[in-house]
Amino acid sequence: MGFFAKPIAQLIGELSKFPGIGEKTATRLAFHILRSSREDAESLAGTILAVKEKIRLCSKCFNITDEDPCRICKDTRRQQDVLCVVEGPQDVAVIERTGEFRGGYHILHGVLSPINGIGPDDLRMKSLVRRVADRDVREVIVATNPKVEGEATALYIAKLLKPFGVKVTRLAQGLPMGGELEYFDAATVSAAIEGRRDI
Amino acid sequence: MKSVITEALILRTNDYGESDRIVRFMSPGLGKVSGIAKGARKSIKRFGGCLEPFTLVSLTVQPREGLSLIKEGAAAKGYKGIKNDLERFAYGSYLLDLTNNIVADDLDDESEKVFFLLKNALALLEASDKPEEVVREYEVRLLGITGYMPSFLNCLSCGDPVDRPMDEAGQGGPVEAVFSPGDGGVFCRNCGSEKAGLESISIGTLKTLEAVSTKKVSFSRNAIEESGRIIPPFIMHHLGRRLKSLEFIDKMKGGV
Ligand SMILES: [Zn+2]
Ligand SMILES: [Zn+2]
Repeated sequence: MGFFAKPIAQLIGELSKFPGIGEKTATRLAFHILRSSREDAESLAGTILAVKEKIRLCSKCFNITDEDPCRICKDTRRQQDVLCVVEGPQDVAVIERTGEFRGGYHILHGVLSPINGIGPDDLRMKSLVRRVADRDVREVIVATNPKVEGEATALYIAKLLKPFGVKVTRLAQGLPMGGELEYFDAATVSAAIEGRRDI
Repeated sequence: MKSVITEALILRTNDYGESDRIVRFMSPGLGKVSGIAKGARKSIKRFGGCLEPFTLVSLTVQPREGLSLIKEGAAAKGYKGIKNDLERFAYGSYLLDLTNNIVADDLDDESEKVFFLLKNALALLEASDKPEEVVREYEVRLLGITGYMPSFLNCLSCGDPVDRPMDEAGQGGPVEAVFSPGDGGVFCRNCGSEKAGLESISIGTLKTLEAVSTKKVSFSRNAIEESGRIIPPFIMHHLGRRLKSLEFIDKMKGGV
């Protein structure tokens, strides 16, 4: 990058920190910004700053929001007695897109991973217990990823909430829609057999 | 360097970038290795979700300086009994964490021993109703292989056996000695008397710990309890920090 003027080299450097952006793409983006109007550049810079300044965590569900409580928590038409626990805010978006779920959320901001130095106190666990203790929650759906640490997190939550007598459920695991049996690994097929249901 | 196919136990994983995964694993031939599996989170075909802790895998690896390249992988064993049980998951996490932290990257000659020790410990843990015994046994044997074995039976100060009887007739032998995590071993009653704040440990437990490294022994309830008070602190002292996985075990024992 030595042959670029310093400011543009710096911009390339910053942009290439983004996930999935290599130096080549970063260079293309940097030159796009250089060629764009001053207004466009200011708007981009302003938008980035606004994200940092205005976005915070909802005090109830810990989703990212620009108003507190967030829109989902404020929506009285949603079921108040069902909570869906997810790893991150991006999971909320995925579940919302299905239109199947009309309850509230609780965002852990990670999963239990003692090997990676993440214990229960590093996650939004205590606040989950408080929410279940404070109001009439009938069911908690644990929607952490079906990986080792997501599973352990689900077991931990089940244990944590046991004293409250609330129903704790786990998202079903098994075959993805549109797939073909012969292409799946043994673990997926065995989870599907275990999770089979009556028809 | 050419690609090799190796058996491996996954120690830890971290997602990296859009779809890659960085994986630390223990291989009998390559030792403790860090590798990158490009596209691992999307390619069911090349990895089939096998790059997760508590998995015995067969990996195709291209060894490189820094991060090796993990090209393909298939699971050979999934240790379901550990993954589906929170207590065993806690102890198992500690086994992996310990291996990752204690074993040197260039432990060439001993890697095979560490690999099989870990493989055996995970298999035992999966079915055991005494997970602590499995863990204590693993700790001591791993310390032995890596050359950090504490002195269990000879006083660090005077060198005498800590169970030496008091008189010529062989009567009145001591029943206890003190263990110092910082010094890495025991002191006899005489030498240990000036040292404050050390754990008293029964001679029976010390003998059990000494024997573990060479043969299969069964821990008494007291030996499990006592060795749990000295071995982890010794290891943490040696590492210079507390492992989060150990804290998690303590948390689980305290009832979540
Ligand atoms: Zn909210
Ligand atoms: Zn002595």
